[in-house]
Amino acid sequence: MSYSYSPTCYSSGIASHCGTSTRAVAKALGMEFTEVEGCNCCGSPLYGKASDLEALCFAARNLALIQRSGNDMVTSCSFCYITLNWANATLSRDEELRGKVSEVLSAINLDYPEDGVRVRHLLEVLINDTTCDTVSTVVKRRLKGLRIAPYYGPHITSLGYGFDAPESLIFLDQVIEALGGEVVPLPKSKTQWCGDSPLLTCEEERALTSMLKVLEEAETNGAQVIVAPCPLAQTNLDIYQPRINGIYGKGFHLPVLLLTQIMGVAFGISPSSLDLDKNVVSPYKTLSPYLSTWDER
Amino acid sequence: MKQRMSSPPGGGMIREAMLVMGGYFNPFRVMGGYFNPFRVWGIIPLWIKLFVHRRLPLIPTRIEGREEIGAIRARIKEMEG
Repeated sequence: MSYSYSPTCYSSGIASHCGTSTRAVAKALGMEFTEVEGCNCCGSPLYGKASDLEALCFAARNLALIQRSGNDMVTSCSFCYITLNWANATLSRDEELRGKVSEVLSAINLDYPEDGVRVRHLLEVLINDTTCDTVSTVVKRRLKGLRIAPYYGPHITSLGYGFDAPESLIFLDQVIEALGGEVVPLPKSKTQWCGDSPLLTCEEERALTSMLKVLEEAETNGAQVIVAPCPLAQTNLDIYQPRINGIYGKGFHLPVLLLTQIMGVAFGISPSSLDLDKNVVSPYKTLSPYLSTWDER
Repeated sequence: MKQRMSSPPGGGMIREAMLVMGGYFNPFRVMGGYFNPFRVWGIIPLWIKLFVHRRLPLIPTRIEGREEIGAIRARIKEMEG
């Protein structure tokens, strides 16, 4: 199937391993991604609290660009997912705001699509379009014996614009099972707050305490790796782990992988094509039995 | 747990920086102006780790049509008087 895909800010910078691994996995699954050039930062969370009109206009610009390709948009960033869905929902119910946004966009010769644009999360697309059966058939190296904790992160389900149905919170578990991995549930912390924008959180202590709960639950339950579908959730848990260890006197060394990275490992994609070396907590030792090429970094 | 988005105190400046630098979020440039000096010391090792792992882009990504970002803001200012 064909989808519009826009590499997000995070996938082009601080979480560039997300863009690389998403493209590699999509190719392996036969998903056709038409990259939409020119999309700006969706604006979340920084615009969100500043000006609704400005935030909506920037999100609407992206939606207008995506509309040109005629496909549903797929994103692996939960922030983009909720922000663009928030814009779609707000503009569909508020005629006055829609009028203002259209007026602004007309200044750059773009039209906000009348019916919005369907914005979908990669995880949902994997379950509903690609299906777990197809994922299973692409697997070259089953992750047998690997204990994986699925961490959904807060945004994929929150604010009323994400996965609303509680049954959606098994999507990640289903993909892990399709890869042959052993799901280690995180009943208390699977949607725990991750600290939002990496490096920019203004509530560091609260963010670190929150991430500590996820790591503690994962370790207590015997997880070997944590998998997250969102680049922000993954980045926060990964890069802040040494800091959490330092502040709270812990000794966590739990690799945190993106969903697309762990899928790529099971698909036999080379570690360099998945940018595994960009993970701060190295996953190489834990994943060594499953990697197609063992190259220690 | 109650979910909420963080609202950085330097929101306006960050927004400005993000837009001026090409329409994409660039953590390296933005965080310099945002953090208080006491916090910066604690977080420097984290920056180094990110830099070593090639995850801290020094040069911001510039999107196609970034002049449109300025045009949008100018139009909003005009409308809001």
